[in-house]
Amino acid sequence: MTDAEEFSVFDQADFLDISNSKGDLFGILRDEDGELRIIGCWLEQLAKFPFTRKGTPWHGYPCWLLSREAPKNRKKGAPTKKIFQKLKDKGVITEQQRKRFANGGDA
Amino acid sequence: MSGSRISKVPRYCETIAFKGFKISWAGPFYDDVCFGSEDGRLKFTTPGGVELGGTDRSVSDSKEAVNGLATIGYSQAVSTRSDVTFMWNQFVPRGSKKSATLHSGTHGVIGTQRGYFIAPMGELGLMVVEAKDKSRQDVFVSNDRESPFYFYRTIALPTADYNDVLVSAVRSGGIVAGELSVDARSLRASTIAPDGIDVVDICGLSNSLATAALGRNGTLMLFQDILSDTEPRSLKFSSIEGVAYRLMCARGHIFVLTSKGFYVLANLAKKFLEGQIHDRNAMQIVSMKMSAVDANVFKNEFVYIVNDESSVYRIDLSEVENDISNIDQKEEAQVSLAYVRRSNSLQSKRKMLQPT
Repeated sequence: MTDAEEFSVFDQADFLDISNSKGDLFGILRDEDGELRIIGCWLEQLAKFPFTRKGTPWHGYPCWLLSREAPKNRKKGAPTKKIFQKLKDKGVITEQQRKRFANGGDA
Repeated sequence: MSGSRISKVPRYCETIAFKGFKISWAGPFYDDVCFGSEDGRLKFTTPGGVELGGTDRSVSDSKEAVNGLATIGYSQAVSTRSDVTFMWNQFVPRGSKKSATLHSGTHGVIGTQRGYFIAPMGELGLMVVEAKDKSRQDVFVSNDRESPFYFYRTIALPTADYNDVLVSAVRSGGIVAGELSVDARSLRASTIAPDGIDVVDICGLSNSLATAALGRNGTLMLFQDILSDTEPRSLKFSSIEGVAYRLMCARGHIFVLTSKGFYVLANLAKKFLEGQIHDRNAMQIVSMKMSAVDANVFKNEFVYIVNDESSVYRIDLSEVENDISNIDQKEEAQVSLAYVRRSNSLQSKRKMLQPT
């Protein structure tokens, strides 16, 4: 992924405020056919930019859809399904892609 | 039929929907059909569509969308992207009801003939849990420690000597296939890596080690014996469009679900097993444009396809078969891929299940 592409993922997430309650931002990248691009070496399609304070640069990384072992009702790392709904409501992904993400599959 | 609504929508498809129940998964549950919801509930019907009840609440702690369900005897396992819930005697009027949860997400879950639940856990590896109700329930998660694979889909092929051959789609790593050890703690496996193909699904072609694999770009790979075949057939059809999601086989046909539609490759498995696939293959393909999410075969009779309207299309395969001879669309396909086969030893780490 080029720097410009990485910035475009962040810009869209920031502009549309695709964020969780902690202020982390989430974004995607599309290919020339309009399909969601794979952006990580573990075939991730979603990018996460953890919240940083004003004046501090943001850094993003590919985000897993599967949650890892964690205490009851606390998901480790993976975005909540509210994020997928937000991505869909803001027109970033389709309903089909939202449902694929919610099932833990790539879209 | 009570509660469920069935009406004709695209050709061959009947729609099944439940009020207040957004379907995320549909598939077999013993002799009946199970529907999983986006908030983790289950609903059951007969194959004819008569409702048999379900769960009022999510069966999983996470309340995430059900993405798989498997049964072995009186044991069931339900998977989501956040956890796997194991249940004993939950849906039968016998024995003490018990459940336990593994708080790690998987891409689905299957049951094997030797009595193990198997789930692909992404980069963590392959989960193996004995289905038997025991006081101490160990979970083994296997992966190649030196170069871990991303386990995305897994099937279990039965063998004549009652062993489980596990075959997994491990995305850009290719296909991992091997026999589960006697103690189920390791998998001596071999990897078949098709050059440049992101393998997203696999399916058995018969009651043997014949297997098909599907690349994300729609490339099909057919193996006579997944454990030893070094020269599988590779096919790609231009009419199969979109991002490939699922691969299934029933009655000698192969089914491909993509982001753009559902495709029936008429008699492809049958022809392949009979050695009738040659360099130039004119295939009959039934194409159904739809926006779908997941699909499963039910008893060689129906395919249940979860669509993006949170309902399910049920396709009666005998109806499709009746029309196959009338299909004009014939397409030739052949691609040449380079394959590399390697040996791997997948070692396991032990985890404990949390009783719920």
